[in-house]
Amino acid sequence: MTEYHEDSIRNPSRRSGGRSRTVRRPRRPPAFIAIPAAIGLALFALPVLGLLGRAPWRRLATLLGSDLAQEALRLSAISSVGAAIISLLLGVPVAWMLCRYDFPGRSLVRGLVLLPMVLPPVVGGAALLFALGRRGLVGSPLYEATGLVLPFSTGGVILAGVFVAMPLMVLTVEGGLRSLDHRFERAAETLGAGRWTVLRRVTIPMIAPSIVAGIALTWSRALGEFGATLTFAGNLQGRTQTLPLAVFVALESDRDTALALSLVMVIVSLAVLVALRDRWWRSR
Amino acid sequence: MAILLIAPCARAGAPDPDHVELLVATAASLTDAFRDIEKAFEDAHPGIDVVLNLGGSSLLREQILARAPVDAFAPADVAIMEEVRAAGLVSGTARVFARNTMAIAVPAGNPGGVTGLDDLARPELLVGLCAETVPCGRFTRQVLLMAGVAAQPDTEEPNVRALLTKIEQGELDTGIVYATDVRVANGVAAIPIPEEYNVTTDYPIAIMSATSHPEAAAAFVTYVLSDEGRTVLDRHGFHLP
Amino acid sequence: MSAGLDSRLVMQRDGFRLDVALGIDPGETVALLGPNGAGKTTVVGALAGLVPLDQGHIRLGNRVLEDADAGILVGPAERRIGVMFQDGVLFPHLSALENVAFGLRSRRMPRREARRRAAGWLEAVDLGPLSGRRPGRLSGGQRQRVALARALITEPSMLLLDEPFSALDVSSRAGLRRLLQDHLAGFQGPRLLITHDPTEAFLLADRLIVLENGSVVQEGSADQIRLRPASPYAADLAGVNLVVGTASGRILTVGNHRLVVHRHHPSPGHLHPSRSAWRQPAKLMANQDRADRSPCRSGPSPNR
Repeated sequence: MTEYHEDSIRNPSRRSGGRSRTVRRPRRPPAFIAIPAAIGLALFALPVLGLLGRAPWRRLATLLGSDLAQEALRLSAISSVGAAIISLLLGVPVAWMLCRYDFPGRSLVRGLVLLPMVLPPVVGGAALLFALGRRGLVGSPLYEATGLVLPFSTGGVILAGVFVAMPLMVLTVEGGLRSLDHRFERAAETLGAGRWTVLRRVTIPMIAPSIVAGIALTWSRALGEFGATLTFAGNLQGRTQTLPLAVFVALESDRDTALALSLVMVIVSLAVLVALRDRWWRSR
Repeated sequence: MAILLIAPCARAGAPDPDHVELLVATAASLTDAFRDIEKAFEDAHPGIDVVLNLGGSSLLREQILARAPVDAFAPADVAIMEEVRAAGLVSGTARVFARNTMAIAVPAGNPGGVTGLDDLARPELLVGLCAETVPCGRFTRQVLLMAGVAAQPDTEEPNVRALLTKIEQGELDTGIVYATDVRVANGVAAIPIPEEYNVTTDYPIAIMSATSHPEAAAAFVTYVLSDEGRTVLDRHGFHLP
Repeated sequence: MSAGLDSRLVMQRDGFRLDVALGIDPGETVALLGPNGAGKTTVVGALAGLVPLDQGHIRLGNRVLEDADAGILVGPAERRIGVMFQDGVLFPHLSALENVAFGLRSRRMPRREARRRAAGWLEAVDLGPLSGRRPGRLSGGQRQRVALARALITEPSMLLLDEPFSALDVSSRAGLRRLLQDHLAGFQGPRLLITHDPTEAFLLADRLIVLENGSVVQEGSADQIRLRPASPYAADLAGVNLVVGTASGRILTVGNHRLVVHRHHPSPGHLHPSRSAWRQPAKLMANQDRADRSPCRSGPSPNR
């Protein structure tokens, strides 16, 4: 038994010659994979198809030209990009801390960072109100000192987006940092590079794919954010009414506009995610 | 896993004659009154389990128009019931069981110093209104139009309870809600709207033609219209027809 | 100008203790040999300033790079110690030219000048035409040449070569070794070659140090180690067998066995009272009660 085993390890060619079945690449997946996979895919594809089927294609331009649609598009563009930028500026250092430094309570901090991903966004919005609202823990002294009110402002929309989307940045960048061989940074140091140069010329370029992925994911997550935005920032056309909120409101009054806006979101998000996927495949 | 997924469907598909689950789509402003009615009704009808689907009336309308399996519907606006009826989804006739009026709500202590409708146009105040798509928002705009006030809202909330919560938390200085809402919320004070500008709203209720429990649905509607139902509604500040 | 290395490296990590006194003269190449886990790479890290010392010091001439007692610690960027890392560790996102220019750019040399010099170095390691390629499109030998150029271009005071040949096939090794010999000849500072391959050590180094379990077990020329390996590992390195016993004339007593040293042994008079070794295992003859062919460890021999 042992002899046969050793022999087959030493002579893999013999094994493959004798038992071609194990070596041949399967042509089609077995039913117990294919059927649940097909059902799973249908769960993703059918709602999109439903949307495409009901979309008012001919009136699309007119519908998207309305004030409600235009303002929602503009606001969503601003707030999702803003949320992605802030997530980048704050999320990368958070990922850095979590990955590179050992400090007490690190696992608690990591849990805290990931919490918004599993929390219902409405709860997140309420929590933001308790913290940063005019009567909130931090919001109250802030208001007393500066008169600044975050809820019901575009800044509040961006903040809600950051809250729900930044975990994705932290996760992807931390993954990138974790898989980065630290010898590259050490090699740079021995070549005379200071910490800032190492960061700028070695670490950041080498984890760039993760950062790009993080930006795309946070951006699309912020673009689709609804619950936390509505709860924390409210709903006002031109100030806080982003695409998802406009869709929600329009669904009850102007279904075609709602469908047109939904279509925009589906197409844009899909384009970003597909492009991202391609990038990943190429770089690996 | 498959069993878990199928289980809820199986329960709905095989009705137990001794146990009926009644889905009642209920306007958000009726939340507290209908919770009390639900409890009293279930005590009187042990075989029937009332499930309230609470939300903005127009959202509920969309769900019903999309053929949600609703047994009875109680929106905050007869116009909404009319749309559902026009789609052929109402069984029998709709009957008005309660009336309401609008009121200005302010957080405890009235930090904005609000005294009347005119204050809703003050730009320095944080003002919330119901979105125009929900009945509360439509009535609010009628009130403002009659009073000739150009309100400057900072948010248009998709249902009245969301608006009320933000006033209650002090995040908003004022807003217009149903008179009944101010009674239930802690930490919210009402400032009455002069009668000449106020509106009276009607709450209709009807059995949905999609119901699979017509008797139970009829029993619930009857209960809402009965003296027991009226007592509860009265206690919550609704006017009675 | 050039200064020698004077160091004592003491580090304690998870039950492993490194304690090495290491001195290298200017222009001298020392090979540090040892099995996996002996602490060779830790020595590189300590000298380069990547891992702090627990005790000891590192001095290059009169420059104190590190002194644990005095609390002096010069960072790796300021040590001016060139390191050629195992597997090269070239930056994968930079071209060969940019990799070589990296050290000059880090020291704020203007881009054009840095690139011009880097191109010159790539020519010097016979890689001129490939300067635009990224490491992923270079062979293992080409990558190591880039790594050598990258380490030398900054004109370091000392050069550390960490297993420069380990990832290469035999034919690339010879080429890189010749290149290394050429460039080491022109380098004035101390050089430390980390390797586990005795051939490279014998060919490139002036002096060998054998490291095991964090301490030096033997130090000397290749011949010294060949003739008197201080440990089984050192004997393996030289391709000889180490037999530990008591010598008397040509008779070596090992436990119950008595061994007769063959007359072809080059220096039978050098039999150490307790340690001896023979180059040719096949010529070892056993003279004893039982006719055991060889009671010795048989190690890898270059002749085999």
